[in-house]
Amino acid sequence: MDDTALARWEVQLRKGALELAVLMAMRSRDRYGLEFVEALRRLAGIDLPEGTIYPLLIRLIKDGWAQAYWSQPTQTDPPRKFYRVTPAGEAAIAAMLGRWRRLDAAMETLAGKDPFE
Amino acid sequence: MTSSDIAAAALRADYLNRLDQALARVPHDLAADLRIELAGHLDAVAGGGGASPAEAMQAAIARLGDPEQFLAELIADDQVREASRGFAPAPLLRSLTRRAAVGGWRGLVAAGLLLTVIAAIALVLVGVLSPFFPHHVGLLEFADGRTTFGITSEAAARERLGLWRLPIGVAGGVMVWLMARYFAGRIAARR
Repeated sequence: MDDTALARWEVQLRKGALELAVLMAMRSRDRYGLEFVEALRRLAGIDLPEGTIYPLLIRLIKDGWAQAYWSQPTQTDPPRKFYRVTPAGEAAIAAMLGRWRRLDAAMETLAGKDPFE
Repeated sequence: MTSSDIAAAALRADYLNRLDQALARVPHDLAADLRIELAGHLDAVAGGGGASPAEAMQAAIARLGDPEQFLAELIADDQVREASRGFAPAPLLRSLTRRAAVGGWRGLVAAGLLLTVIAAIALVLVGVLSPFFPHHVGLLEFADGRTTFGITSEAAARERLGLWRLPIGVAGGVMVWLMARYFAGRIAARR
């Protein structure tokens, strides 16, 4: 597989994991858009066009997996829209992590031996 | 204020102008929130520093991306949802075409629904045109034994549905149209 094909595959892989990563980033504390981008880059090595985070956050709200609220502006900070995970979002995280782990285990099995033996 | 500050302000204004154009097709409340969020994001990243204010702003704009691109799916879904609330076929055709062009699995479904809407229009046309072109519209049987349903330029030897063409075409077309409209609304609302 050449580097371009590998990079394309990785982009698809990360894209699929993005919603789960964003939801998990909300668990430790409420965050605003730029904070998600920075957390994903720093903690998970996910580097995305930063604007894409906002439609994703809107989808999470539509699905009932996240809630948003505006912070009051201060002398140093502008008003910011913070996102928090909902109980339905917590349930979605648990379900997605379960599937992720099953997939990971299946891949490990396939990588460890000839699946056709 | 330096020339770089002026250039940075011009870049910012140009980007926000492009953002406003993209957001013009998003519901007002959502658009207002998104504008504040994205402007704040841009200012925070650009304020992080760079070789000059203009270069920092340019880098921040590049990191944020083209609003037409990152909002494309959101805008297209919203247009389909809006169009599916009305009964006019043209807005639904336009919005489904746009949604299909954005891609993804919903893009594929939109392409399918687009064909369904076209089929609905064709069915209505069969019904409406049948009294005027009795040998060219309907369930047509040709002299060589071929049978086809629809509208042809070739005159058929016989038409098998007769007067039923009108109610079958119109009612069938309306039913298919309503079905496509319903599923368009459902698909646009899903992730």
